[in-house]
Amino acid sequence: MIQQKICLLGSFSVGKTSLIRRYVDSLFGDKYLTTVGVKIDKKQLRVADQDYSLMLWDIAGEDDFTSIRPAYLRGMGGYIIVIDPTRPHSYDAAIAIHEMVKTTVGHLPAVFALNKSDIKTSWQLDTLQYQHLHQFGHPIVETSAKQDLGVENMFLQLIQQWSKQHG
Amino acid sequence: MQGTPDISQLRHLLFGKDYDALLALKAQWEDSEQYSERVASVIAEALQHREAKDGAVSAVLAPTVEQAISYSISSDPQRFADVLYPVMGPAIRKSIQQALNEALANFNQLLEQSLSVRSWKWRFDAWRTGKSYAEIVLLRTLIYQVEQAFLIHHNTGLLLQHVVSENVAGKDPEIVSAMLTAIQDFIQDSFAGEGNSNLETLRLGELTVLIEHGPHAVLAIVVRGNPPSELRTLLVETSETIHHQHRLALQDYQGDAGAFASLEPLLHDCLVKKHKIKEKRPPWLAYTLLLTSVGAGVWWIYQYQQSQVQQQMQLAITEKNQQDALQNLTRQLQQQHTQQIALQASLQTLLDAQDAEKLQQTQQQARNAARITTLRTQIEAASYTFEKAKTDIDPHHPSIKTLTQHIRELLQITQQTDQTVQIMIFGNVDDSGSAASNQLLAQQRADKMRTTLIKAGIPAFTLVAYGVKQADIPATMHKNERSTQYQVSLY
Repeated sequence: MIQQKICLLGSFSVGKTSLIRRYVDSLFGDKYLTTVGVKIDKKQLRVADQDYSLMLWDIAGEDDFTSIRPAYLRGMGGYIIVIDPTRPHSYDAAIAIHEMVKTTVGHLPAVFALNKSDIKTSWQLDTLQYQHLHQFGHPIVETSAKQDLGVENMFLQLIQQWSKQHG
Repeated sequence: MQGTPDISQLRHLLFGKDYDALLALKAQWEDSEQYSERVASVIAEALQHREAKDGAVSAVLAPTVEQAISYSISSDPQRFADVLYPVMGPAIRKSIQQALNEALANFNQLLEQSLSVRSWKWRFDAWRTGKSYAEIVLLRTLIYQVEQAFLIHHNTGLLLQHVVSENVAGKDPEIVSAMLTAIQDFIQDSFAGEGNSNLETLRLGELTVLIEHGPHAVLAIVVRGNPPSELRTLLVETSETIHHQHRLALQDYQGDAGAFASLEPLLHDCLVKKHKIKEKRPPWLAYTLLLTSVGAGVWWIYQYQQSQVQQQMQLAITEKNQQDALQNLTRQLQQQHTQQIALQASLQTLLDAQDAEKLQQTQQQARNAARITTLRTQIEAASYTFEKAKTDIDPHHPSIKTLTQHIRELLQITQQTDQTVQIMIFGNVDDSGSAASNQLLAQQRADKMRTTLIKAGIPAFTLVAYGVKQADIPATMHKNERSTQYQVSLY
């Protein structure tokens, strides 16, 4: 059994909480997000005969008024940055968050989740931005909370990065 | 090895340079300075090897080191004090701090309990059991149970080990430990500001979470009840032991908690509990109350019965008295009745007697009246005849005697009938003689008769003597004879 702390990051209302809700064991309500600024969920999965227990720190979305508490990032094994491509601002926020994490914690396995893939037509992400995202070298996963798409893959991508590191 | 030069030469021929080396070795062995130099170069490694092999070095050196330290302290204590100062200072401060905290915690608890209703119950218990109040407070307050123990990786907030008491339902410990870490971060971030202060205690109703922060791991225990200060000590000691035993594993933790499975017994030792000692003592208070109630009831009933008996007795006495009084009254009434009857009888007798008396009296009166009439007639019919022109009277004359007797009898009877008798004596004369002498004679005869009768015992006031020749005498009394006549008047 491998335990890891995973932080779920992203701009305000990109759908982080909705994305994982159906996939995790929860103990706490969403009110923790607005009060303490973080909500912990657990995702257990088995990959290549190895059990993983991912502690998901769903950290309140960053916007102009709320900033991520760096203390919450301490000791994490990887992170997922959720982007809502229908809102270009969330892309900028994701880039800023990624930079902040790299500065404060260092280089860690990460996944970019492009959420709301069910309404891909409304996406406003241009090719340049997409390429820029690719340049970070982290997997980019398209997800949809509405259609239950890509969430398992998102976790798998993270785990595979650890396997590569340790393998 | 020394010998003649020939032998020496022979040795050189036989061993060559090896012999010189042997000689040099021999010189080294024999020269203490060289030997010690040689040993000094290997002694540390030798000790290390031996110590690693069976630990004998420590055992061998211990007495020597102890002696050396004793010697050093006795010869120059200041030096030792200077050396130990940086170590002892913080240690002593920490110890004092710990002791003060414990004392303060106990004192606070005592103060908190000192004015509550429960404290009065405890004071009563103390008084009842003869123990000191402090003992009772300790007995009652040190009741707790460590329900869960979490060993959490300091950096990641991941759960390294978790134990839970029997019959305690714990929620997902991995999520809880992560959230506990998040909350600590949140509090530290929000309130503590800069510095190394850590969240040490969380309290929610009956539950207290005691948290001990080590360099690499956080040990948290969830206590139900009032955690005594010793628990903090236990927590600190356990945390120290864990860090001592698993420092490297904690440092290099990469998410595999399997390495800390061996810590489970150690954490289990933290699951201490102190049950409320429910001694099966008889509930004296309840018994006392019950006995008092029963006693009061019995006493009341007894009193009631007594009062009833008394009332009955009083009633009986009253009744008896009344009966007695009634009997007395009846008796008196009977007596009175008897007396009345007797009285009536006697009254009747008296009445009869009275009637008889009256009858007798009437009869007597009738008899008296008849007798009086008879006597009156007899007296008035009586007459004494004188000698001619004489006034002499024979007192022994039968007619005089008879007259006297009759007058006496009349007097006796009239005395009874309460009448006064007056007998008028009329002296008569015949026609012979002069009127004047006759008048005198008549008077004399009457007087003489009166005197005779007085002499015979007739009271003088009864007798009045008149000569009939007196002018005021009625003519019916005039008789032409030499006698005296009598007229009886009754008043």
